[in-house]
Amino acid sequence: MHKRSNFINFIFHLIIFIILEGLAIFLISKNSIIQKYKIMQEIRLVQNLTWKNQYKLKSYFSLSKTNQQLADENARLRSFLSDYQQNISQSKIIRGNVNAVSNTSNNAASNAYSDTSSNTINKQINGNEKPFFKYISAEIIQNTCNRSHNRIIINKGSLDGIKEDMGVITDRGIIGIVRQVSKHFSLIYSFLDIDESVSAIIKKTNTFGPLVWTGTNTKYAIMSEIPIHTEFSVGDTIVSSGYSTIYPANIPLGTIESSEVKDGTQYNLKIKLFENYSSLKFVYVTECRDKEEILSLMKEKEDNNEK
Amino acid sequence: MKNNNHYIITIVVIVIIQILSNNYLNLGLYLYPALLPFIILKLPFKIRTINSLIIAFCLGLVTDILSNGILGLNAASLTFVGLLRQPLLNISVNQKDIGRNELPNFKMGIYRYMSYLTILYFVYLTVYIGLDMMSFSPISFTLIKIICSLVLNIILCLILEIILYNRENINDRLR
Repeated sequence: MHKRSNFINFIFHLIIFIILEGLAIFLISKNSIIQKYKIMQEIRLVQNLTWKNQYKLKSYFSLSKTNQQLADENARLRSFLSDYQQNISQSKIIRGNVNAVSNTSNNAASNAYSDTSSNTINKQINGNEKPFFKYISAEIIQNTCNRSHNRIIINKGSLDGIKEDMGVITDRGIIGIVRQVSKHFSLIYSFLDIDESVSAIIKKTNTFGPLVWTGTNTKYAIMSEIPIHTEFSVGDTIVSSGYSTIYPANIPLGTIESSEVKDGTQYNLKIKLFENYSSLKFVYVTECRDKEEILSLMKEKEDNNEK
Repeated sequence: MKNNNHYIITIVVIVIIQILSNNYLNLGLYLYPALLPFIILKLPFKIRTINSLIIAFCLGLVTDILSNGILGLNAASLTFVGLLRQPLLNISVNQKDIGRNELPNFKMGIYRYMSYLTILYFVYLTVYIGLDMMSFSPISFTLIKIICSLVLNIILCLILEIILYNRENINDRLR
């Protein structure tokens, strides 16, 4: 009890002291320019420190929001990049055609064709044409890595434009494919599924083959069906081929760790994946703009073959 | 009653001397005569911290108002002395003496009293010089100024002690 009253006394005295001292320092600062300047300097220093810490704290708590904004921005930039790349490749083709036409036909025809093609290019560059791939950023809310058939759930659904069979990627690898969609969430069959495969190429030689998860270690996958004559070396980069309407081309997937000859005719490459699937947070859902057109074309071809 | 009047007159005289010294006495850069802390550290044992804080602040403020210096400088420095007086006395004096109406003096023991004096004066001078210069740099100059002023003020305190209070007691102690 005595100790408690002593403590209360101490606090009381301290408060009175601080009040009186504050009053005295206030008087000093009011009555002397040098002291005022110095005191204000110290106060500003404390203020700056406080503001800095407040800003840090605020930034820390708004990290999630910032991440989401960055992810959205990345998605937009990826769409633009895809659009740009498509425009570049198309413009090259068109220019090649223009040259061919001008070499073989008269000038009037050439100019007419040239005008049309340049209009097309301008139209595409000005953004009137849709990009080849559209990207939607999403946050992973559930993820498994310890099963043979791993599944991921993301926080975007049909209301956000997600549809079945869309691809899911990051800048470090392919994550999976959308299989079920609800209004607000989507279920993804992870790349870490022994039944899933993606088309990949060795970047150096453009040799392609299916890439399948090993089923044992989340860091490794097997790239098979590589012809025996293919030249490659350990450390070569593997990227997505883009030979599908699900994933864009040139997504870095991993590097060659080792190889083994299978059946004497082909290689099986052990690929060390770039992406750490156990710590995934943000992903991009990809949608091919011309998917339906491509699929209908393929369907027509299949029908013709059947006939 | 007589003692009380004597005590109050002493305080008033010391304050007037301090004001005059602030206004008219110039002992150079290294020496600052300060008599005000002597009043605070000579407050009776029974005066509690809250009272000593208020007395210190008011005395400092009055001196500041009547001096040519910066308003609030003495008040700020003396308030520190008012805060530390009681805890130092608690360490230096028997608890049964704390409630008495006696003044701190050489009866506490010469070393204890001198330590009490020195510590409080050191705090006062450090705060006063620090606030006056608004920095401690150059540190060597500041330290020399504090030490020189401390020595001067302790000598002044001993002289005041002899003149005003304990001439007989000091003689007894020194014998």
